[in-house]
Amino acid sequence: MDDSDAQERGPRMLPQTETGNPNRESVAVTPLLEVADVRHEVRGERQKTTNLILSDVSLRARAGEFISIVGPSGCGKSTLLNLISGLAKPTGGTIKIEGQQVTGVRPDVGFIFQQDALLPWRTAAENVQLALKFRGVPKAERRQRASEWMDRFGLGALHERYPREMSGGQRKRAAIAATLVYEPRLLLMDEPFSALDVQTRDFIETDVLSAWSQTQGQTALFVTHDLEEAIALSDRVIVMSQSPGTIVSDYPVDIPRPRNIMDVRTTEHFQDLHKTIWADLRKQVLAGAAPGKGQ
Amino acid sequence: MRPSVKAAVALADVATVAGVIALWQSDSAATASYLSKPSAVFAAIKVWLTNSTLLGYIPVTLWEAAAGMLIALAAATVIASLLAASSRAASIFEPFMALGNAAPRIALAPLFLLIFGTDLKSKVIFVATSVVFIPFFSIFRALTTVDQDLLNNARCLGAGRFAIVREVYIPAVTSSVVASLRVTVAFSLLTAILAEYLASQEGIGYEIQQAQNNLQANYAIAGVVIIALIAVIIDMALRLIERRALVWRDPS
Repeated sequence: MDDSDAQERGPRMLPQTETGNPNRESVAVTPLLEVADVRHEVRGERQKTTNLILSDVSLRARAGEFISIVGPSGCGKSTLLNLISGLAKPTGGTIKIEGQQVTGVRPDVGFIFQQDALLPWRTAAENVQLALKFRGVPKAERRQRASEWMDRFGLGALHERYPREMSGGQRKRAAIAATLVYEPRLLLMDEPFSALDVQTRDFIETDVLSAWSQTQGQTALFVTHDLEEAIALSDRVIVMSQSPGTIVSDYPVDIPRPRNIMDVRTTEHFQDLHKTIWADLRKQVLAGAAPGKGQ
Repeated sequence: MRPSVKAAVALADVATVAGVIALWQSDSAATASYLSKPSAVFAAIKVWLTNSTLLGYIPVTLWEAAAGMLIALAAATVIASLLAASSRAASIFEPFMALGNAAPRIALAPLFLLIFGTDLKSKVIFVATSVVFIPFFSIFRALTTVDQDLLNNARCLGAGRFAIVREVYIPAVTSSVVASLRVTVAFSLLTAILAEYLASQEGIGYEIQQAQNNLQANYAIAGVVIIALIAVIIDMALRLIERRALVWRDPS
């Protein structure tokens, strides 16, 4: 049912929304996101020591790119998203979105968390409307817009459900709809599917990818520890080192779009890419796990 | 519970009550002087509900409990919000609240009556100060343990300070207050009766005390029965409210 839905919208998927195409690189003068020499330290538990979480992270993202960040656990990839979202401030370096320095949470950035953070006392529909409510959108309009997004994510029959009455996959869909409803320019995702079973994950990824491809150049930054997922979704896969995290490599993923999440993994090209990137990622994982270096 | 099981439980309840009353009624005259008899208690309840003076005592007690409880809820909200907003203030004052909560406050009732007199106002103050700790701790805990993910998510969705209070903090606090309301109500009634019992000119507690002085155990027990019935009715109403207000919660 998800597939037919995507096909139905097929004609609207104009070539210029199929991004990640290097030929159009020259269009964007300022990158949508620019992370320059970011380092981040946090105070240790006894307040005396500081832990370096990120060191010299630099990264640029164009409008319309889908970028995944992979790395060993504890490498600071979630911290990087927190800094970009404006929820936390880096101790060094700059983060700019559309040329403006990030000083706090921005209305054109969306963040989908690992844990579903729906308000438990609000129904699914109310949760999906929240961002519009915060933006002062009139009631009738926000109800309609939320309803459209809920339909796209297969939540049409669940408007009046409270989060506890929904499955993990349904809650995740609601959380995604709640973020996409205000059409952020930059979409941050922090291991959003790690708690889901494989089938549910494939379905939701398909819907997310289809929603993203229909936007006018939404940039997605996707943190995961699952390399297959990263390659299947992205235009670029960035590998981070073990802690303190820094970017060690940046691989373009030249698999044509639209992609079928479920089939793409079986192609030879995918497997070659996976082999190459995994060889790199594996080094980082092993370096983190080496005796004396573990945390 | 299956309906048949439910009926059996209800039947067992009725049988237990009937058994106790029968045993009590058949008791020898030896204990009757201070334990009275169900028939006498029943007669006393009848008088209580027909005599205008005694009947008027019921709203007096309820009013003291209700006013005291509302003041306690308001004060608890203010104090808990202030302490939750400032971790420094919390580290200074929370131990005092814990001390106040642990102290046998009821033992201080005579002192209260000395300071504030024996009128209605002093009962209200006594109820409020005795009860305030229950909602305080439930509100304080609710405010300080609000899920960080909920706050971050709300911020990312564009909630300002005011919107976060409205959408996250107030619902979190409301649910914890509702959940602790039954204990708060029961304790308010208890302390109101106690204050009346110690020194007053009216109220159910006053009548219980008078009856005991006059060796009219049946009137004292009638007072206890009446207040217990009222408490049960309020409790049932609160359960209903709780279920309505907390539909979003896991059925407990």
